[in-house]
Amino acid sequence: MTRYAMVADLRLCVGCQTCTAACKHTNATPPGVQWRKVLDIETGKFPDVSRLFMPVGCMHCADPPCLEVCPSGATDQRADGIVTIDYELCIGCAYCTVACPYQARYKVDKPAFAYGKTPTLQEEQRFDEGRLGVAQKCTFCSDRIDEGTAKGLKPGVDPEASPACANACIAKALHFGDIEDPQSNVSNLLNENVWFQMHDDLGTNPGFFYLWDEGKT
Amino acid sequence: MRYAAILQTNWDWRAAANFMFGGGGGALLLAAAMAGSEASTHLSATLLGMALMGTGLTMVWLEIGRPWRAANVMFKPQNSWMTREAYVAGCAFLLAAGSLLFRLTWLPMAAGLAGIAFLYCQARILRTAKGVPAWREPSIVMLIVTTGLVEGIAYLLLVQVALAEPAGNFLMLLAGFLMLRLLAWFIYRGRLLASNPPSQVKAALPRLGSWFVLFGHFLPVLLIAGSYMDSPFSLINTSISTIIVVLSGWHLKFVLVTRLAHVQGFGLGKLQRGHPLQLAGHQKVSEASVRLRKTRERELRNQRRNQ
Repeated sequence: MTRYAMVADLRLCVGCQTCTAACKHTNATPPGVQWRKVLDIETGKFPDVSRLFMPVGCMHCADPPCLEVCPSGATDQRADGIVTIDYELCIGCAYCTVACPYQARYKVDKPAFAYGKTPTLQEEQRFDEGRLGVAQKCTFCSDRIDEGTAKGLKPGVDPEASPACANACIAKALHFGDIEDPQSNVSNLLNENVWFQMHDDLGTNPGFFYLWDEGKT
Repeated sequence: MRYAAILQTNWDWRAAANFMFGGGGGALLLAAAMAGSEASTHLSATLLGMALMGTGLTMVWLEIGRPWRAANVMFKPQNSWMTREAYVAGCAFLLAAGSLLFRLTWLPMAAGLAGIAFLYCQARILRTAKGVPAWREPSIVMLIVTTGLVEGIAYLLLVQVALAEPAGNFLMLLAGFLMLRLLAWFIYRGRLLASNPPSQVKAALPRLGSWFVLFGHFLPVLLIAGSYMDSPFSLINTSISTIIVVLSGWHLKFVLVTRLAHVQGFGLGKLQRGHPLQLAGHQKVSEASVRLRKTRERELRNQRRNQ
């Protein structure tokens, strides 16, 4: 079995948003839509405060609430744990969007471009009408994973088979891999560090793990 | 700690309208079946119930991003309460129309039960929206169901007033269900506040509560008590109390869907050590997901075999 997961080391993330830019470039998301974004959070109480940068997006939960509520079957889960959306089936009811505890899903009803009504050349070439009026979210770059593994490459090790955000991270804070492989990079990180999953009390079992220091929460 | 617990805007007044009109409409079908002695009451109440349900569903249809694919909503009855709502709505419409066309004694009650099932589906739709703390609170099911039942009875009373027919015991029933709705509200409010919802919800809840309790319950109960006195204002009292009851229910659902719908937000979690697959809790969830995947793989194999 394989379950792909992302590990974000919050001690290393510098909030540069390179992952956000890489995701937007790779997936051609419109303005206001960020499949991968980094939150800039202030923790502690004045005057003892510090900044924390937290990458968020679709957590590719093992038990995704979005999958449970989807009335059309557009939301699905692959055998490797990646939660997918079939844009051809989705009716755009946004039930999945309100069911997701991670604000990971977006719905865009009208074309939106960075500089007003006229798209740039890049936006014109990459525009996908199929994404209008339907739910959209991070795919863990499943197309890259599939193409890479078809060539015999290993996701999380070979950049060609890994998500764009993890490849782009300048601080080595984002890691991708198979947590069901005990020898994988992400398994090693989870074995050697203290970690948490966001909103684990909701029983979603997110596929996104955060490395953090003890005594800081 | 909770960050960015913003108000969701994907479901707006159109989604709220489905809960405002549809639930009460479904309950009205049952109330119409219970008041079935007068043919004119049954006809008018059933038509009104169907119209209310139809209006709510039309509003939702106007909200979805791909309205011409709306039929896809029927694809997942095994897991989605929205699909179940769609099927039950279809059954309710067919049975209600049948009860008007054919003189079969069981049809009005069957339509009424389908109407109640529709109301229940609506309550479960909110309950399963895990991203919104004010909706996923389990006691919302009782609140939405009692609100719908109260509205259904109130609609029936309005129909009876309009047709100048006697209200029978429905006025007393309305007062009883109002008390149930009040109880459901206090349970919901208490449990939601205890679950540490977003601060905006905490702040808004008392405001909504005082309005809802005073205007939506005490005033109509006083008016209902007044309508039992032998005075020329009895009919006016009944009409005003039922209108207030309906308006307060609409207001509650509108506020729930559009104003108290702050999302979970982001936060840090409980720190853990060791590989997640070796931890007891994770093992359990992992087993559940393995079962899910096995089911899916079996489905895929069957599909390929059929092709």
